[in-house]
Amino acid sequence: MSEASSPTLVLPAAMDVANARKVYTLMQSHLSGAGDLELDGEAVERMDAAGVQLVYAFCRELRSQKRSLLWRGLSEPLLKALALSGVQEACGLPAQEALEAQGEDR
Amino acid sequence: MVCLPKKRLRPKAKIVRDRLMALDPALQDQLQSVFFDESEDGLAVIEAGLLELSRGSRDPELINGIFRAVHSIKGGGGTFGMTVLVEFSHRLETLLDRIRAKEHAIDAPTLDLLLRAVDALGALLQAKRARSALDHTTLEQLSEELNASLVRSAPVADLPAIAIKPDSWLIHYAPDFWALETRNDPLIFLAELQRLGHLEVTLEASRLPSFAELNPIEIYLAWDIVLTEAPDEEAIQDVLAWVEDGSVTIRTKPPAQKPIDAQDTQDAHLEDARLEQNTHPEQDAQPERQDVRLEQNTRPEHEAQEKPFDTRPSGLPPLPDERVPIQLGVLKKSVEALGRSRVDGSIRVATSRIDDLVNLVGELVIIHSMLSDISQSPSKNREDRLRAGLGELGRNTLILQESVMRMRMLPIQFALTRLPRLVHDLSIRLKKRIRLEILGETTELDKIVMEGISDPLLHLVRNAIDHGVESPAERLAAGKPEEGLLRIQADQQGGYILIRVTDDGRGIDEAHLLEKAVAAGLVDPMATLNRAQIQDLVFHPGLSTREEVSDLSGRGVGLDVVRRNVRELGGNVRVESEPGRGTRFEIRLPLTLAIIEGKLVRIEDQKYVIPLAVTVETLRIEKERLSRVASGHEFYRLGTEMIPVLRVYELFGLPSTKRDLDNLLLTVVDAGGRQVGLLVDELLGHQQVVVKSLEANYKPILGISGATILGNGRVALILDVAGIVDLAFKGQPPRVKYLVQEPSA
Repeated sequence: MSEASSPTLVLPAAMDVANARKVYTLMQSHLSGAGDLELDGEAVERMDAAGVQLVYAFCRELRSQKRSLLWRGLSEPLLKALALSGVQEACGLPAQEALEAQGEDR
Repeated sequence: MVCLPKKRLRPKAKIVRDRLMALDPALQDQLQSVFFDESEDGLAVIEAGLLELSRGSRDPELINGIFRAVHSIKGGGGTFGMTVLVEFSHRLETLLDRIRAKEHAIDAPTLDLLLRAVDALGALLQAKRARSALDHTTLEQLSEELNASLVRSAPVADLPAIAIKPDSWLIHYAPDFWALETRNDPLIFLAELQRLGHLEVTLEASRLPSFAELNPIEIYLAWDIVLTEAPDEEAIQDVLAWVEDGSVTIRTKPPAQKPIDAQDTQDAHLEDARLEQNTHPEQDAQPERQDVRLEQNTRPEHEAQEKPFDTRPSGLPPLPDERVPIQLGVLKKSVEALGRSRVDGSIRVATSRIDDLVNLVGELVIIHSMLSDISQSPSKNREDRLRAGLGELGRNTLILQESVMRMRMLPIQFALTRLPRLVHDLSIRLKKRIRLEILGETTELDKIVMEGISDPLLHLVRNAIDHGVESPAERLAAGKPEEGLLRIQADQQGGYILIRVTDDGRGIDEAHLLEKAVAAGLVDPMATLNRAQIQDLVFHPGLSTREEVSDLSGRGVGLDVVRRNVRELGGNVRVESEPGRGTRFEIRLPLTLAIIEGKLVRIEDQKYVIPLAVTVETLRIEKERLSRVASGHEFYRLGTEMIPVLRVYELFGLPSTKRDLDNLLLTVVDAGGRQVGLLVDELLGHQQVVVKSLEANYKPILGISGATILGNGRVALILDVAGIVDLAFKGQPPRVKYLVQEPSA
């Protein structure tokens, strides 16, 4: 699914408010680059609204930079949180396909 | 670990209830106490609102405010597992919901029913608070009346009779920016809603800044939610009740396939809802949110899911509002805006005031440590340093005293909250038209004084309506407007508060009052009383000029109790009346009972404090003005009046030394509208004293209202003038015949 040459941002296990500043800094460092990007969410175990918001804001920023985002892995908590908060489409994960993608990735 | 653990997928209120049950019982009690306090504030809002409606107002926000207050009480009751309260308030809420949806007319029987239901709700809350038995009979009877009223629900004239069963709920949720800091994760809220039915969530990111400007711990996202297949309003409110105040608006979605004639009405209602949203100050500050909501209202995909009207007759099931957004926490804010706080049991104190106190206590600890250090270290300037430290201590103590006193001060409006309802009810009952005017309601006084003055005020108002204000026919015949005026005015005057209860009624019938007093043997038939003395007879127990005895007044009990209660508060009450023009009762009360201004006097070798509130003047005795009447009582000629003289040392059984009357002083005091003179040996000064209760620390003593500790550490007793008068006249109040002029000695 992914292109070998794209840099990959690996999301941490805790995508919550306690870890939000750290994730924000990590995302910022990837936004300063160029080209397509891969997002690996396989390790995400915990996600609250701060995590959802960061993923959404990150995707929106990439889009505004005309850069593509490719999902490499999706954990169940990540998928659930994105689906529940209605951001999955904006992050390139249509609701129906998201679950299927999860199965494929795993 | 998972993001949304299954344990969280329960209505939040239930979670809170479970957590409450797991708390320490003392903390549970404390939380319940807060609920009761807030509910009483809510009841005041409801009652004031209903009275406003009875005066003809139809302001939608007023009706919404009443609804929200009932809803808050219901929600809180549910949290504490008060089933009866929840069920009863739910019926009341349902009727109010019909009213605000203009599906039920606001007529006199409905308002009467609502007021009685609110009374019952108040009684229910009081019973819960006191853990006493509930009045199930009244509650059941009122529940039946509310049910019957709901069945009779008829739309107001300009609307068609339509009962709308909600198909889905439109919820707009914009969490506070700092929601996560307060552990309110919006995802939990969404998950709980999802548990209730089918959820469609649309993200709204207009508040979200660019990535570079983003503060990752703040929440900018908002959501528009369509919830279908939800069980009922109760379950949804259960979830909504615990999100941050003002962050949620909820409406039901209007049904599709509406009858053509109803379409316009529905649109008009939606328009109303938008207008109301626009007028909400919180939303005014957030125009972006409003825009989103308006878009949501007009989204075509929602229209496609609409179902036909449920045209069954209005019944009892809950009918959630489909037009007016519910703004959670508005009641709390309106109450805060009014500066309201509790009168009994507890006082709400601003955190800043507590912080000030903590700082002051910190200062005192430092000063104590400094003084302790000075006392232990010999140094040349030790005295100077001690003096400076004591000066600092004195200043901080004074600030501390003022801060604490300020905490106890509440606006007098708390004592006045019951008056509008009383005037409303009595006007209807006595078929009189009365306009109530309240002035100076923000005047502050001590909580204890406030509690003590509430009942006397009620009595004076009841008395004014029953005795003072005439019937409309009588008033017209007397050339007065049909509507009588009853004015309550409070003003602060130095360390006192003056409350005037004035009516423009018939005034006191002085001739009749005197006749009754003479007939009762209270006044010597030969006595010459001035006008004030005659009018003062209204405070005499057993005297009433009213021929018919009513349960309101007219039994001769009441005004004497008013005077006694006011005296117990260290104040006094007097009356002034003009026949045909009205009556004015004037209550003078100290602002606080904890610290009073007093005159320190010496009587024999004891020091006493005479409250300044009752002190008229102190003068040197002129022997030739003293006289003794046949009954053995002494009088002093003061101007044209003879005032009784009381030898306090005799009354208190103090060993008396032979004294020259010329060297004594007479402190003239006001004993409830009548002046008496107290013989004292020396006037030592005038000072503030801290009142210590004798009753609490020893036992009640007639003639002594309390004690204080003087600067030298000795105790001085505080004289209770009214008690001394009672003591002097062997428990009997002074008779008017004492005022009969005697020839001077």
